[in-house]
Amino acid sequence: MSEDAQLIRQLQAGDLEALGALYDRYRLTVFRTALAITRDTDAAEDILQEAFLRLHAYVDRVDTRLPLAPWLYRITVNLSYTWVTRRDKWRVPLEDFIEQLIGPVKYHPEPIAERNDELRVMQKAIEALTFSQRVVIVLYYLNDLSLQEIADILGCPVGTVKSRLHYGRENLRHLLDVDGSGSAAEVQYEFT
Amino acid sequence: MNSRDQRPMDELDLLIRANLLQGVAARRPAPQTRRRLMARAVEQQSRKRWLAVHLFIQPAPPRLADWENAAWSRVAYFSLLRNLGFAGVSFYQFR
Repeated sequence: MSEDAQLIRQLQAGDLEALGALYDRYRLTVFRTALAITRDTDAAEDILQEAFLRLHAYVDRVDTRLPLAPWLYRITVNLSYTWVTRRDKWRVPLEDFIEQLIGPVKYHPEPIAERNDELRVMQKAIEALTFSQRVVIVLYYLNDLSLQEIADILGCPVGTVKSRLHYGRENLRHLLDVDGSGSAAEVQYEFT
Repeated sequence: MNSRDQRPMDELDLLIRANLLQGVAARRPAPQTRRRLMARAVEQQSRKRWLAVHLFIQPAPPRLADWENAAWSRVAYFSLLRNLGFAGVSFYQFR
């Protein structure tokens, strides 16, 4: 039996120390995934806490024969989705209102990649992706998961993951103004 | 790039991965998040136990005494009711 399975069994028996041990094992994975998706440290902290509270609440349903990481990824993605949709519900009208007050700044003709801070530019570009594309980009590049693993986590076909990854990359290429000619264009459909 | 997908990295892949890693590499959850989690887990555990005791393990519903189920007691009930004036009561209701 794996160490995760052992800890899950202890937690199922009511041992909260096992929850602490699981938290210590997976806190960085969950936190960084949530942070990469939401771009908000406070939200990532809340999602981290809520993910492990759900693990505690629903531990009886966790199958100890399966690895725990995909279960945690799924919870993290779902909680991030809830947070992003709630934020957008309030943020978009507020931004529109501010835009009306200070003039058109949203559609600036200057390419984003011309700005100096590359990290900030990349963060903005990833934030501009749709939620489903952003999640796939984060799980694929940051968490180093395979297309099949991402499909299992999101509960969708591998083809959908490939499509989201492709369009996410293309959108990032456009937003970052990266040259799409050459080897990059040749290999874009070579996922196996 | 994920080695299991057998796809060579290009400039964009490197850029995305490097920036994603750079964006989160130095970030760690605050220590108080663990303390908050454990405190809430204790509360949740207490609530789960309370629910288990108060909602799921209810005492068995009261049962009729055996003598009430006995055939002779039904006859006795019938006679009593008839004597009290409930003429419309049929004996077959007590079968």
